[in-house]
Amino acid sequence: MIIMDLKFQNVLGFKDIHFNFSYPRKIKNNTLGDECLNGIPNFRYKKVNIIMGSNSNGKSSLGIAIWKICMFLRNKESSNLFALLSDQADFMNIDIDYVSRIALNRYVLNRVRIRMEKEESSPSGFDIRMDYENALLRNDDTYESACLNLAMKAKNKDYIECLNDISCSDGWFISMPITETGFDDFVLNLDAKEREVFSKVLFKTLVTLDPNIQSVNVSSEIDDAYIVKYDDGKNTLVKSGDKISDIRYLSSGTKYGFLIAKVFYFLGKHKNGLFYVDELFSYINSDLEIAMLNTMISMLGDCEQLFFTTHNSEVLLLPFPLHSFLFLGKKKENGMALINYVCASDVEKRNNVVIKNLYDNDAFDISPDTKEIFEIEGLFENGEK
Amino acid sequence: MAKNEVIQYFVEGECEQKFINSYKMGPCSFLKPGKVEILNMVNNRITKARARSIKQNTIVVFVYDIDKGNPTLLEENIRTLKECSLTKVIHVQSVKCFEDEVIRSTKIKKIDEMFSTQGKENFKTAFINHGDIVAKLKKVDFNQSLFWTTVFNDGPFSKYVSVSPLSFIRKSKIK
Repeated sequence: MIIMDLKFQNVLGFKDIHFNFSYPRKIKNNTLGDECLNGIPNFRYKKVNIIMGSNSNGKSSLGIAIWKICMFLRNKESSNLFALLSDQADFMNIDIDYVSRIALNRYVLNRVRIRMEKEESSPSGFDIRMDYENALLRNDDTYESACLNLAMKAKNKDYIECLNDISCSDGWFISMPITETGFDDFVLNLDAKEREVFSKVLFKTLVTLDPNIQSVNVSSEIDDAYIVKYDDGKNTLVKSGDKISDIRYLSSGTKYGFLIAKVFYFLGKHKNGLFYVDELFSYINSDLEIAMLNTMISMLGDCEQLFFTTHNSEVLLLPFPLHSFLFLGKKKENGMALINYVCASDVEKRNNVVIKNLYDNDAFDISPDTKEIFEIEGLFENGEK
Repeated sequence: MAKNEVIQYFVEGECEQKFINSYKMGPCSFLKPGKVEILNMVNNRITKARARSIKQNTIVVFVYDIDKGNPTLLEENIRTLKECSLTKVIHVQSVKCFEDEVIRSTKIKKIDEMFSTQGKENFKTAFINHGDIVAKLKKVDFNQSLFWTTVFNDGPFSKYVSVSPLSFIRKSKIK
Protein backbone atom coordinates (compact mmCIF):
# COMPACT_ATOMS: atom_id res chain seq x y z
CA MET A 1 0.00 0.00 0.00
CA ILE A 2 1.25 3.44 -0.82
CA ILE A 3 -0.44 6.72 -0.06
CA MET A 4 -0.66 9.21 -2.91
CA ASP A 5 -2.86 11.91 -1.47
CA LEU A 6 -4.43 12.79 1.85
CA LYS A 7 -6.89 15.51 2.80
CA PHE A 8 -7.97 16.02 6.38
CA GLN A 9 -10.52 18.36 7.85
CA ASN A 10 -11.06 18.33 11.61
CA VAL A 11 -8.84 15.28 12.04
CA LEU A 12 -6.83 15.26 15.30
CA GLY A 13 -4.69 18.43 15.24
CA PHE A 14 -5.32 19.03 11.53
CA LYS A 15 -8.00 21.65 10.91
CA ASP A 16 -7.60 21.58 7.15
CA ILE A 17 -4.57 20.08 5.43
CA HIS A 18 -3.69 18.48 2.11
CA PHE A 19 -0.69 16.17 1.66
CA ASN A 20 0.38 14.96 -1.75
CA PHE A 21 2.92 12.18 -2.24
CA SER A 22 3.42 12.26 -5.99
CA TYR A 23 6.13 14.36 -7.63
CA PRO A 24 6.04 16.08 -11.00
CA ARG A 25 9.02 14.79 -12.95
CA LYS A 26 11.73 12.16 -12.86
CA ILE A 27 14.77 13.21 -10.82
CA LYS A 28 18.16 12.83 -12.50
CA ASN A 29 20.61 10.69 -10.52
CA ASN A 30 18.06 10.01 -7.81
CA THR A 31 19.94 8.31 -4.97
CA LEU A 32 16.72 6.56 -3.99
CA GLY A 33 16.58 4.84 -7.38
CA ASP A 34 13.37 4.84 -9.37
CA GLU A 35 10.62 6.22 -7.19
CA CYS A 36 7.81 4.72 -9.24
CA LEU A 37 5.77 1.56 -9.51
CA ASN A 38 7.39 -1.44 -11.21
CA GLY A 39 6.45 -1.43 -14.88
CA ILE A 40 4.69 1.95 -14.62
CA PRO A 41 7.63 4.36 -14.84
CA ASN A 42 5.55 7.51 -14.93
CA PHE A 43 3.54 6.66 -11.87
CA ARG A 44 5.82 8.59 -9.53
CA TYR A 45 5.38 8.45 -5.80
CA LYS A 46 7.43 9.69 -2.89
CA LYS A 47 8.92 6.48 -1.64
CA VAL A 48 10.73 8.09 1.27
CA ASN A 49 9.12 10.83 3.34
CA ILE A 50 11.28 12.31 6.05
CA ILE A 51 9.06 14.39 8.26
CA MET A 52 10.42 17.07 10.52
CA GLY A 53 8.77 19.65 12.71
CA SER A 54 8.82 20.96 16.21
CA ASN A 55 6.87 19.34 19.05
CA SER A 56 3.07 19.13 18.78
CA ASN A 57 3.15 19.90 15.09
CA GLY A 58 1.41 16.76 13.89
CA LYS A 59 4.15 14.22 13.14
CA SER A 60 2.68 11.53 15.37
CA SER A 61 -0.89 12.61 14.59
CA LEU A 62 -0.27 11.96 10.91
CA GLY A 63 0.91 8.43 11.74
CA ILE A 64 -2.04 7.79 14.02
CA ALA A 65 -4.48 9.11 11.42
CA ILE A 66 -3.03 6.87 8.69
CA TRP A 67 -3.09 3.90 11.07
CA LYS A 68 -6.70 4.44 12.14
CA ILE A 69 -7.89 4.93 8.55
CA CYS A 70 -6.17 1.70 7.50
CA MET A 71 -7.78 -0.10 10.47
CA PHE A 72 -11.19 1.34 9.57
CA LEU A 73 -10.92 0.23 5.95
CA ARG A 74 -9.80 -3.27 6.81
CA ASN A 75 -11.61 -4.06 10.06
CA LYS A 76 -14.68 -1.99 9.16
CA GLU A 77 -14.98 -0.66 12.71
CA SER A 78 -16.19 2.92 13.03
CA SER A 79 -14.55 3.32 16.46
CA ASN A 80 -11.30 3.93 14.57
CA LEU A 81 -12.80 7.09 13.11
CA PHE A 82 -14.23 8.35 16.40
CA ALA A 83 -10.67 8.46 17.72
CA LEU A 84 -9.72 10.91 14.96
CA LEU A 85 -12.48 13.47 15.33
CA SER A 86 -11.13 16.70 16.77
CA ASP A 87 -14.01 19.17 17.21
CA GLN A 88 -17.06 17.06 18.10
CA ALA A 89 -19.45 19.82 17.05
CA ASP A 90 -18.05 19.96 13.52
CA PHE A 91 -17.96 17.44 10.67
CA MET A 92 -14.82 15.48 9.81
CA ASN A 93 -13.65 14.87 6.24
CA ILE A 94 -11.03 12.38 5.14
CA ASP A 95 -10.02 11.95 1.49
CA ILE A 96 -7.38 9.37 0.69
CA ASP A 97 -5.91 8.08 -2.56
CA TYR A 98 -3.82 4.93 -2.18
CA VAL A 99 -2.34 2.28 -4.42
CA SER A 100 -2.71 -1.44 -3.78
CA ARG A 101 -0.71 -4.14 -5.49
CA ILE A 102 -3.11 -6.88 -6.59
CA ALA A 103 -0.55 -9.08 -8.38
CA LEU A 104 3.01 -8.83 -9.65
CA ASN A 105 3.27 -5.48 -11.49
CA ARG A 106 -0.52 -4.98 -11.31
CA TYR A 107 -1.81 -2.12 -9.24
CA VAL A 108 -5.06 -0.39 -8.41
CA LEU A 109 -5.51 3.25 -7.47
CA ASN A 110 -8.19 3.61 -4.81
CA ARG A 111 -9.98 6.77 -3.77
CA VAL A 112 -11.93 6.85 -0.53
CA ARG A 113 -13.90 9.79 0.85
CA ILE A 114 -15.23 9.69 4.37
CA ARG A 115 -17.48 12.29 5.95
CA MET A 116 -18.53 11.96 9.56
CA GLU A 117 -20.77 14.24 11.58
CA LYS A 118 -22.81 14.19 14.73
CA GLU A 119 -26.21 12.55 14.38
CA GLU A 120 -28.23 12.23 17.57
CA SER A 121 -30.60 9.61 16.12
CA SER A 122 -27.76 7.24 15.16
CA PRO A 123 -26.86 4.56 17.76
CA SER A 124 -23.21 5.59 17.64
CA GLY A 125 -24.13 9.27 17.80
CA PHE A 126 -22.50 9.86 14.39
CA ASP A 127 -23.50 9.60 10.76
CA ILE A 128 -20.72 8.28 8.52
CA ARG A 129 -21.02 8.61 4.75
CA MET A 130 -18.52 7.30 2.23
CA ASP A 131 -17.60 7.23 -1.44
CA TYR A 132 -15.25 4.77 -3.08
CA GLU A 133 -13.80 4.41 -6.57
CA ASN A 134 -10.91 2.46 -7.99
CA ALA A 135 -9.05 2.15 -11.27
CA LEU A 136 -6.65 -0.44 -12.56
CA LEU A 137 -3.37 1.26 -13.47
CA ARG A 138 -2.10 1.05 -17.06
CA ASN A 139 1.58 0.92 -17.99
CA ASP A 140 1.57 4.50 -19.27
CA ASP A 141 -0.33 6.00 -16.35
CA THR A 142 0.83 8.84 -14.19
CA TYR A 143 -0.86 9.52 -10.88
CA GLU A 144 -2.60 12.49 -12.47
CA SER A 145 -3.86 10.53 -15.51
CA ALA A 146 -5.06 7.70 -13.27
CA CYS A 147 -7.03 10.20 -11.19
CA LEU A 148 -8.98 11.14 -14.31
CA ASN A 149 -10.18 7.55 -14.46
CA LEU A 150 -11.62 7.86 -10.99
CA ALA A 151 -14.93 9.40 -11.98
CA MET A 152 -15.96 10.09 -8.43
CA LYS A 153 -19.66 10.74 -8.18
CA ALA A 154 -20.76 11.67 -4.71
CA LYS A 155 -23.05 8.84 -3.73
CA ASN A 156 -22.71 9.43 -0.02
CA LYS A 157 -23.30 5.80 0.77
CA ASP A 158 -23.72 4.57 4.28
CA TYR A 159 -20.25 3.49 5.42
CA ILE A 160 -21.17 -0.16 6.04
CA GLU A 161 -22.50 -0.54 2.52
CA CYS A 162 -19.49 1.25 1.04
CA LEU A 163 -16.90 -0.69 3.04
CA ASN A 164 -18.25 -3.90 1.52
CA ASP A 165 -16.96 -2.66 -1.85
CA ILE A 166 -13.47 -2.11 -0.46
CA SER A 167 -11.11 -4.98 -0.26
CA CYS A 168 -8.27 -3.77 1.91
CA SER A 169 -5.75 -6.56 1.98
CA ASP A 170 -2.85 -4.13 2.04
CA GLY A 171 -0.50 -4.24 4.97
CA TRP A 172 1.01 -1.43 6.98
CA PHE A 173 3.45 -1.08 9.81
CA ILE A 174 3.16 1.79 12.25
CA SER A 175 5.79 2.21 14.93
CA MET A 176 5.52 4.89 17.60
CA PRO A 177 7.48 5.78 20.72
CA ILE A 178 6.74 3.56 23.71
CA THR A 179 5.06 6.50 25.42
CA GLU A 180 2.14 6.16 22.95
CA THR A 181 -0.69 3.93 24.12
CA GLY A 182 -0.28 0.36 22.88
CA PHE A 183 3.24 0.81 21.53
CA ASP A 184 5.06 -0.20 24.71
CA ASP A 185 4.08 -3.85 24.24
CA PHE A 186 6.48 -6.24 22.59
CA VAL A 187 4.19 -8.30 20.35
CA LEU A 188 5.30 -10.26 17.31
CA ASN A 189 3.42 -13.58 16.84
CA LEU A 190 6.00 -15.27 14.63
CA ASP A 191 6.40 -18.95 13.84
CA ALA A 192 9.56 -20.86 14.82
CA LYS A 193 11.40 -20.21 11.55
CA GLU A 194 10.53 -16.54 11.55
CA ARG A 195 11.68 -16.19 15.17
CA GLU A 196 15.13 -17.41 14.20
CA VAL A 197 15.38 -14.73 11.54
CA PHE A 198 14.04 -12.07 13.88
CA SER A 199 16.52 -13.01 16.63
CA LYS A 200 19.36 -12.36 14.15
CA VAL A 201 17.91 -8.97 13.20
CA LEU A 202 17.39 -8.16 16.87
CA PHE A 203 20.95 -9.09 17.77
CA LYS A 204 22.47 -6.96 15.00
CA THR A 205 20.34 -4.02 16.08
CA LEU A 206 20.93 -4.38 19.83
CA VAL A 207 24.67 -4.99 19.60
CA THR A 208 25.02 -1.81 17.55
CA LEU A 209 23.28 0.09 20.31
CA ASP A 210 25.06 -1.73 23.14
CA PRO A 211 28.34 -3.54 22.36
CA ASN A 212 28.08 -5.41 25.69
CA ILE A 213 25.34 -7.59 24.25
CA GLN A 214 26.82 -10.94 23.38
CA SER A 215 23.92 -12.78 21.79
CA VAL A 216 20.18 -12.90 21.22
CA ASN A 217 18.60 -16.33 21.03
CA VAL A 218 15.09 -17.68 20.71
CA SER A 219 13.94 -19.20 24.00
CA SER A 220 13.42 -22.94 23.78
CA GLU A 221 11.24 -22.98 26.89
CA ILE A 222 8.89 -20.04 26.48
CA ASP A 223 6.84 -19.42 23.38
CA ASP A 224 7.57 -16.24 21.43
CA ALA A 225 10.41 -15.16 23.72
CA TYR A 226 14.04 -14.10 23.25
CA ILE A 227 17.03 -14.28 25.57
CA VAL A 228 19.41 -11.35 25.47
CA LYS A 229 22.82 -12.33 26.84
CA TYR A 230 25.45 -9.84 28.01
CA ASP A 231 29.24 -10.05 28.16
CA ASP A 232 29.19 -10.16 31.96
CA GLY A 233 26.98 -13.26 31.97
CA LYS A 234 23.69 -11.53 32.74
CA ASN A 235 20.59 -12.63 30.80
CA THR A 236 17.29 -10.92 30.08
CA LEU A 237 14.25 -12.77 28.87
CA VAL A 238 11.91 -10.76 26.69
CA LYS A 239 8.64 -12.44 25.81
CA SER A 240 5.64 -11.47 23.78
CA GLY A 241 3.44 -9.07 25.72
CA ASP A 242 6.26 -7.68 27.86
CA LYS A 243 6.51 -3.94 28.29
CA ILE A 244 9.53 -2.65 26.41
CA SER A 245 10.03 0.06 29.03
CA ASP A 246 10.38 -2.66 31.71
CA ILE A 247 13.15 -4.65 29.99
CA ARG A 248 16.00 -5.02 32.47
CA TYR A 249 19.62 -3.87 32.08
CA LEU A 250 19.07 -2.04 28.79
CA SER A 251 19.54 1.70 28.28
CA SER A 252 16.64 3.77 26.90
CA GLY A 253 18.10 3.78 23.40
CA THR A 254 18.77 0.04 23.44
CA LYS A 255 15.16 -0.62 24.47
CA TYR A 256 14.11 1.18 21.31
CA GLY A 257 16.25 -1.36 19.48
CA PHE A 258 13.38 -3.82 19.92
CA LEU A 259 11.05 -1.55 17.96
CA ILE A 260 13.68 -0.74 15.35
CA ALA A 261 14.43 -4.46 14.87
CA LYS A 262 10.73 -5.00 14.18
CA VAL A 263 10.84 -2.33 11.46
CA PHE A 264 13.88 -4.02 9.85
CA TYR A 265 12.25 -7.42 10.10
CA PHE A 266 8.98 -6.40 8.46
CA LEU A 267 10.80 -4.37 5.82
CA GLY A 268 12.70 -7.54 4.98
CA LYS A 269 9.50 -9.58 4.74
CA HIS A 270 7.85 -7.17 2.24
CA LYS A 271 4.34 -7.81 3.48
CA ASN A 272 3.45 -4.42 4.88
CA GLY A 273 3.86 -1.88 2.10
CA LEU A 274 3.50 1.22 4.20
CA PHE A 275 5.88 1.98 7.05
CA TYR A 276 5.42 4.86 9.47
CA VAL A 277 8.41 5.11 11.78
CA ASP A 278 7.71 7.80 14.32
CA GLU A 279 10.52 9.16 16.45
CA LEU A 280 12.11 5.86 17.44
CA PHE A 281 15.50 7.54 17.51
CA SER A 282 15.15 10.24 20.13
CA TYR A 283 17.46 8.28 22.47
CA ILE A 284 19.80 7.10 19.76
CA ASN A 285 23.10 8.48 18.53
CA SER A 286 22.73 10.59 15.39
CA ASP A 287 25.21 8.55 13.30
CA LEU A 288 23.38 5.35 14.23
CA GLU A 289 20.04 6.91 13.31
CA ILE A 290 21.40 7.84 9.89
CA ALA A 291 22.87 4.36 9.34
CA MET A 292 19.58 2.74 10.33
CA LEU A 293 17.48 5.09 8.23
CA ASN A 294 19.64 4.39 5.17
CA THR A 295 19.32 0.66 5.78
CA MET A 296 15.55 0.95 6.02
CA ILE A 297 15.47 2.88 2.75
CA SER A 298 17.65 0.29 1.01
CA MET A 299 15.29 -2.45 2.14
CA LEU A 300 12.19 -0.78 0.66
CA GLY A 301 10.71 -2.78 -2.20
CA ASP A 302 8.20 -2.22 -4.97
CA CYS A 303 4.94 -0.54 -3.94
CA GLU A 304 6.39 0.26 -0.53
CA GLN A 305 6.66 3.62 1.16
CA LEU A 306 8.45 4.90 4.23
CA PHE A 307 7.42 7.76 6.49
CA PHE A 308 10.15 8.63 8.96
CA THR A 309 9.79 11.35 11.56
CA THR A 310 12.78 12.80 13.32
CA HIS A 311 14.14 15.82 15.19
CA ASN A 312 17.67 15.15 13.98
CA SER A 313 18.59 17.91 11.50
CA GLU A 314 21.71 15.96 10.46
CA VAL A 315 19.33 13.83 8.40
CA LEU A 316 18.91 16.88 6.17
CA LEU A 317 22.49 16.41 4.98
CA LEU A 318 21.56 13.13 3.30
CA PRO A 319 21.60 13.23 -0.50
CA PHE A 320 17.93 12.54 -1.08
CA PRO A 321 15.75 14.40 -3.54
CA LEU A 322 14.21 17.53 -2.06
CA HIS A 323 10.72 16.10 -2.34
CA SER A 324 11.65 13.54 0.34
CA PHE A 325 11.76 16.20 3.06
CA LEU A 326 8.49 17.34 4.55
CA PHE A 327 8.12 19.94 7.25
CA LEU A 328 5.19 20.36 9.57
CA GLY A 329 4.71 23.65 11.35
CA LYS A 330 2.11 25.64 13.20
CA LYS A 331 1.02 29.06 12.02
CA LYS A 332 -1.35 31.43 13.73
CA GLU A 333 -4.21 32.61 11.59
CA ASN A 334 -6.90 34.79 13.09
CA GLY A 335 -5.68 33.82 16.53
CA MET A 336 -5.89 30.09 15.82
CA ALA A 337 -2.85 27.84 15.49
CA LEU A 338 -3.12 25.77 12.31
CA ILE A 339 -0.81 22.95 11.32
CA ASN A 340 0.57 23.47 7.86
CA TYR A 341 2.88 21.41 5.70
CA VAL A 342 5.73 22.35 3.39
CA CYS A 343 7.69 20.05 1.14
CA ALA A 344 11.30 21.15 0.59
CA SER A 345 10.75 20.94 -3.17
CA ASP A 346 7.98 23.56 -2.88
CA VAL A 347 10.47 26.04 -1.48
CA GLU A 348 13.64 25.15 -3.39
CA LYS A 349 13.64 23.87 -6.96
CA ARG A 350 17.36 23.15 -7.37
CA ASN A 351 18.10 19.59 -6.35
CA ASN A 352 21.78 20.16 -5.55
CA VAL A 353 21.02 22.46 -2.60
CA VAL A 354 21.87 21.30 0.93
CA ILE A 355 18.56 21.41 2.69
CA LYS A 356 20.21 21.69 6.12
CA ASN A 357 21.23 25.30 5.47
CA LEU A 358 17.67 26.23 4.51
CA TYR A 359 16.45 24.51 7.66
CA ASP A 360 19.00 26.33 9.85
CA ASN A 361 17.72 29.57 8.36
CA ASP A 362 14.15 28.55 9.08
CA ALA A 363 13.24 28.75 5.40
CA PHE A 364 10.36 26.37 6.08
CA ASP A 365 9.01 28.56 8.84
CA ILE A 366 8.77 25.77 11.39
CA SER A 367 11.20 27.00 13.99
CA PRO A 368 9.79 26.75 17.52
CA ASP A 369 9.39 29.83 19.68
CA THR A 370 11.88 29.66 22.53
CA LYS A 371 10.95 32.99 24.11
CA GLU A 372 9.09 31.52 27.11
CA ILE A 373 11.97 29.19 27.95
CA PHE A 374 14.41 32.06 28.19
CA GLU A 375 12.04 33.87 30.52
CA ILE A 376 12.08 31.08 33.13
CA GLU A 377 15.43 32.28 34.44
CA GLY A 378 13.91 35.72 35.05
CA LEU A 379 11.23 34.28 37.33
CA PHE A 380 13.95 33.64 39.90
CA GLU A 381 15.94 36.82 39.40
CA ASN A 382 16.21 37.52 43.10
CA GLY A 383 17.00 33.96 44.06
CA GLU A 384 20.42 32.84 45.21
CA LYS A 385 22.63 30.91 42.81
CA MET B 1 23.04 33.75 0.07
CA ALA B 2 26.51 32.44 0.84
CA LYS B 3 26.77 28.71 1.36
CA ASN B 4 26.37 27.75 5.03
CA GLU B 5 25.49 31.33 6.01
CA VAL B 6 23.12 31.23 8.97
CA ILE B 7 21.11 34.28 9.94
CA GLN B 8 19.23 34.97 13.15
CA TYR B 9 16.89 37.94 13.23
CA PHE B 10 15.89 39.58 16.51
CA VAL B 11 12.97 41.86 15.82
CA GLU B 12 11.01 44.47 17.72
CA GLY B 13 7.59 42.82 17.54
CA GLU B 14 5.17 40.47 15.85
CA CYS B 15 4.64 42.71 12.80
CA GLU B 16 8.32 42.62 11.91
CA GLN B 17 8.37 38.86 12.55
CA LYS B 18 5.41 38.31 10.25
CA PHE B 19 6.87 40.64 7.63
CA ILE B 20 10.25 38.87 7.46
CA ASN B 21 8.70 35.40 7.54
CA SER B 22 6.43 36.41 4.66
CA TYR B 23 9.22 37.81 2.49
CA LYS B 24 12.08 35.44 3.19
CA MET B 25 10.77 32.64 0.94
CA GLY B 26 8.35 32.30 -1.92
CA PRO B 27 7.93 34.07 -5.25
CA CYS B 28 7.83 37.60 -3.77
CA SER B 29 10.72 37.09 -1.40
CA PHE B 30 13.43 39.71 -1.21
CA LEU B 31 14.90 39.14 2.25
CA LYS B 32 17.46 36.51 3.15
CA PRO B 33 15.97 33.62 5.12
CA GLY B 34 16.80 33.27 8.78
CA LYS B 35 15.23 32.36 12.07
CA VAL B 36 13.12 35.24 13.36
CA GLU B 37 12.61 35.76 17.08
CA ILE B 38 11.02 38.62 18.92
CA LEU B 39 13.40 40.48 21.17
CA ASN B 40 13.59 44.24 21.05
CA MET B 41 17.30 44.80 21.45
CA VAL B 42 16.85 48.48 22.38
CA ASN B 43 14.39 47.70 25.15
CA ASN B 44 15.23 44.26 26.48
CA ARG B 45 18.32 42.46 27.61
CA ILE B 46 19.39 39.27 25.86
CA THR B 47 20.18 36.62 28.44
CA LYS B 48 23.37 34.61 28.30
CA ALA B 49 21.29 31.43 27.92
CA ARG B 50 19.63 32.85 24.83
CA ALA B 51 22.88 34.16 23.36
CA ARG B 52 24.63 30.85 23.99
CA SER B 53 21.79 29.02 22.18
CA ILE B 54 22.67 30.74 18.91
CA LYS B 55 24.95 28.63 16.76
CA GLN B 56 28.54 29.84 16.31
CA ASN B 57 29.23 32.01 13.26
CA THR B 58 25.58 32.98 12.97
CA ILE B 59 25.03 36.48 11.64
CA VAL B 60 22.73 38.24 14.07
CA VAL B 61 20.41 40.88 12.65
CA PHE B 62 18.77 43.36 15.01
CA VAL B 63 15.61 44.99 13.70
CA TYR B 64 14.38 47.85 15.84
CA ASP B 65 12.51 51.14 15.83
CA ILE B 66 14.54 54.28 16.39
CA ASP B 67 11.74 56.33 17.91
CA LYS B 68 12.27 54.90 21.36
CA GLY B 69 14.73 52.67 23.16
CA ASN B 70 17.89 52.66 25.16
CA PRO B 71 21.29 52.76 23.37
CA THR B 72 23.10 51.60 26.50
CA LEU B 73 21.00 48.45 26.55
CA LEU B 74 21.73 47.90 22.87
CA GLU B 75 25.47 48.16 23.54
CA GLU B 76 25.16 45.75 26.43
CA ASN B 77 23.38 43.25 24.19
CA ILE B 78 26.10 43.52 21.58
CA ARG B 79 28.67 42.82 24.31
CA THR B 80 26.74 39.76 25.53
CA LEU B 81 26.68 38.35 22.00
CA LYS B 82 30.38 39.07 21.61
CA GLU B 83 31.10 37.12 24.80
CA CYS B 84 29.37 34.18 23.12
CA SER B 85 31.58 34.59 20.02
CA LEU B 86 28.81 36.16 17.98
CA THR B 87 30.66 39.08 16.49
CA LYS B 88 28.72 39.69 13.31
CA VAL B 89 25.82 41.95 14.24
CA ILE B 90 23.79 43.79 11.61
CA HIS B 91 21.50 46.71 12.49
CA VAL B 92 18.31 47.25 10.55
CA GLN B 93 16.46 50.32 11.73
CA SER B 94 12.83 51.13 11.11
CA VAL B 95 12.72 54.88 10.51
CA LYS B 96 11.17 55.74 12.79
CA CYS B 97 8.89 52.78 13.34
CA PHE B 98 7.44 49.83 11.40
CA GLU B 99 4.25 51.69 10.50
CA ASP B 100 6.30 54.55 9.01
CA GLU B 101 8.16 52.05 6.84
CA VAL B 102 4.85 50.63 5.60
CA ILE B 103 3.55 54.09 4.73
CA ARG B 104 6.82 55.03 2.99
CA SER B 105 6.84 51.91 0.82
CA THR B 106 3.16 51.82 -0.17
CA LYS B 107 0.58 54.19 -1.58
CA ILE B 108 -1.27 54.63 1.73
CA LYS B 109 -1.03 57.97 3.44
CA LYS B 110 -2.09 56.88 6.90
CA ILE B 111 -1.55 53.52 8.55
CA ASP B 112 -5.29 53.20 9.30
CA GLU B 113 -6.01 53.03 5.55
CA MET B 114 -4.43 49.63 5.12
CA PHE B 115 -6.99 47.60 7.08
CA SER B 116 -9.57 50.34 7.70
CA THR B 117 -8.64 50.21 11.35
CA GLN B 118 -8.22 52.93 13.93
CA GLY B 119 -4.97 53.43 15.77
CA LYS B 120 -1.59 51.70 15.76
CA GLU B 121 -2.63 48.82 18.01
CA ASN B 122 -5.56 47.85 15.78
CA PHE B 123 -3.30 48.03 12.72
CA LYS B 124 -0.81 45.72 14.42
CA THR B 125 -3.51 43.19 15.34
CA ALA B 126 -4.89 43.22 11.79
CA PHE B 127 -1.40 42.88 10.30
CA ILE B 128 -0.43 39.98 12.55
CA ASN B 129 -3.68 38.08 11.98
CA HIS B 130 -3.89 38.62 8.22
CA GLY B 131 -3.86 35.35 6.25
CA ASP B 132 -1.84 36.62 3.24
CA ILE B 133 0.10 39.74 4.06
CA VAL B 134 2.10 39.58 0.80
CA ALA B 135 -1.11 39.86 -1.25
CA LYS B 136 -2.43 42.58 1.03
CA LEU B 137 0.72 44.69 0.67
CA LYS B 138 0.70 44.13 -3.09
CA LYS B 139 -2.77 45.65 -3.17
CA VAL B 140 -1.40 48.86 -1.69
CA ASP B 141 1.48 48.94 -4.23
CA PHE B 142 4.19 47.79 -1.85
CA ASN B 143 7.63 48.77 -3.16
CA GLN B 144 10.26 46.62 -1.43
CA SER B 145 13.08 48.92 -2.51
CA LEU B 146 11.66 51.59 -0.19
CA PHE B 147 11.29 49.34 2.83
CA TRP B 148 14.10 49.38 5.38
CA THR B 149 16.29 51.44 3.08
CA THR B 150 16.03 54.84 4.72
CA VAL B 151 19.12 56.03 6.53
CA PHE B 152 18.53 58.38 9.45
CA ASN B 153 21.72 60.01 10.68
CA ASP B 154 20.35 61.53 13.81
CA GLY B 155 19.27 60.30 17.22
CA PRO B 156 20.64 57.85 19.79
CA PHE B 157 21.20 54.95 17.38
CA SER B 158 22.87 56.90 14.57
CA LYS B 159 26.28 55.31 15.19
CA TYR B 160 24.87 52.02 13.88
CA VAL B 161 23.44 53.53 10.70
CA SER B 162 24.80 52.50 7.32
CA VAL B 163 23.53 51.28 3.97
CA SER B 164 25.52 48.03 3.93
CA PRO B 165 23.45 46.21 6.59
CA LEU B 166 20.28 47.16 4.78
CA SER B 167 21.77 45.62 1.66
CA PHE B 168 23.01 42.59 3.52
CA ILE B 169 19.56 41.28 4.48
CA ARG B 170 18.35 41.53 0.89
CA LYS B 171 18.69 38.80 -1.66
CA SER B 172 19.77 41.37 -4.24
CA LYS B 173 21.56 44.66 -3.69
CA ILE B 174 19.70 47.92 -3.23
CA LYS B 175 19.72 49.85 -6.49
